[in-house]
Amino acid sequence: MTTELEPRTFRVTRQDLVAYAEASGDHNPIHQDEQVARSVGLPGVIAHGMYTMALAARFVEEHAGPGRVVGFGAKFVKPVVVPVEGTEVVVSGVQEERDGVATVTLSVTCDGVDVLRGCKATLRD
Amino acid sequence: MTEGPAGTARPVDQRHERIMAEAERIEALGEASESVAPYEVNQATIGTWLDAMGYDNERFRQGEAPPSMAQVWTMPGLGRRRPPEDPLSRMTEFLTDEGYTAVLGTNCEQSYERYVRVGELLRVTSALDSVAGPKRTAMGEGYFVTSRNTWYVDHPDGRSEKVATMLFRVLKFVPRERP
Repeated sequence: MTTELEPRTFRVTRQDLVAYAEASGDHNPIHQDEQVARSVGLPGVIAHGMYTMALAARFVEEHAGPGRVVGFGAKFVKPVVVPVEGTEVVVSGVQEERDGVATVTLSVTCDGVDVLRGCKATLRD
Repeated sequence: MTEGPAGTARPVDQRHERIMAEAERIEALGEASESVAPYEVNQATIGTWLDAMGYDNERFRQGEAPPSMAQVWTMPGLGRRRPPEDPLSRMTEFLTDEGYTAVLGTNCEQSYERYVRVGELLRVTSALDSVAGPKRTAMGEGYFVTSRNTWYVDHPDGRSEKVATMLFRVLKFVPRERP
C-alpha cells in the first residue's frame, strides 16, 4: 500500500539556527557567521545538515505518530543557505508498506532544489 | 609536493598509499574511542531542542527523547574536545596534513534500537568504518571518510545495551581555487 503524505513547508531563519546550535551543542560558525561561511567557499550561512534532517524526521513523526521511526538516513547534496530574511524548506513523502515494514521516502527541497537525497525513514508498528 | 603542517614537504606520489595505510591502521582499532555524556538525558535539554525545532509532542514533553537527538547527548560542547584517539578526528587530521584541508558532511544514517528516556546516561563509541578515494567531486578532489558511532546505556548489572548507531560520511577535499 502506498500513501502520499501531505507536503509541508518549514520556514527557517537565522534565529532558528542560533537556537539549534544552542540546543544541539553544534556551534560551528558556518551556521552563524556569513564571513566564516564564505571564507570556506560556502555561498553564505547554511543550516546544520542535522537540523534539516531533523525537520524531515519530524515530518515523518507528525504523519506516522512518534515512537515509530527506527531508521533514518539521507545524503546531503546541497546546503540549505539561510539569508538574513530566512528561507523555506519543503518536505514531502511517500509511505509504502511491504511485508509488514513501512518506509517513507522523502523529498526535501529548498528553492525547488533537492537538499537531501535518498532520504528515507524506516518505521515499526 | 605539498607542504606539511610544519613546512615539511611530503612527496605527493605516495600520498594515496600513505592515506590508505593510515585508514587501514585506524579501521583495525575498532571502537577506539568513547566518551560518556556529561549529563543524563534530561527534560530541560529535550525541551530546548523541541523549542529550537518549533516542534511539540506530548510524548517528548513527558520523558522520552526524540531519536534525532542521539548525537546531542554526547556532543563535545564548547571547551570540551573529542578524545585525542577519536578515529574520525585522527583520519581527518591526517587528510588535512596531506593537503585535503576542507570538510563537508555528505551522508548520515541513523538507526534506533529504542528511544532513550530521562535519567539514562549515554556512552558513545567511535570507529572508522571506511575511507574511499581519491574522487573527483563538484567541490574538488577528495576522500570520503565514514565513521560509525554507537550509543550505549550501561546498566547496573554490567550489561551494555546498544540504543542507537550512526554512520556519518564526510568529504575531505582540496577546495577549488576561486576566481
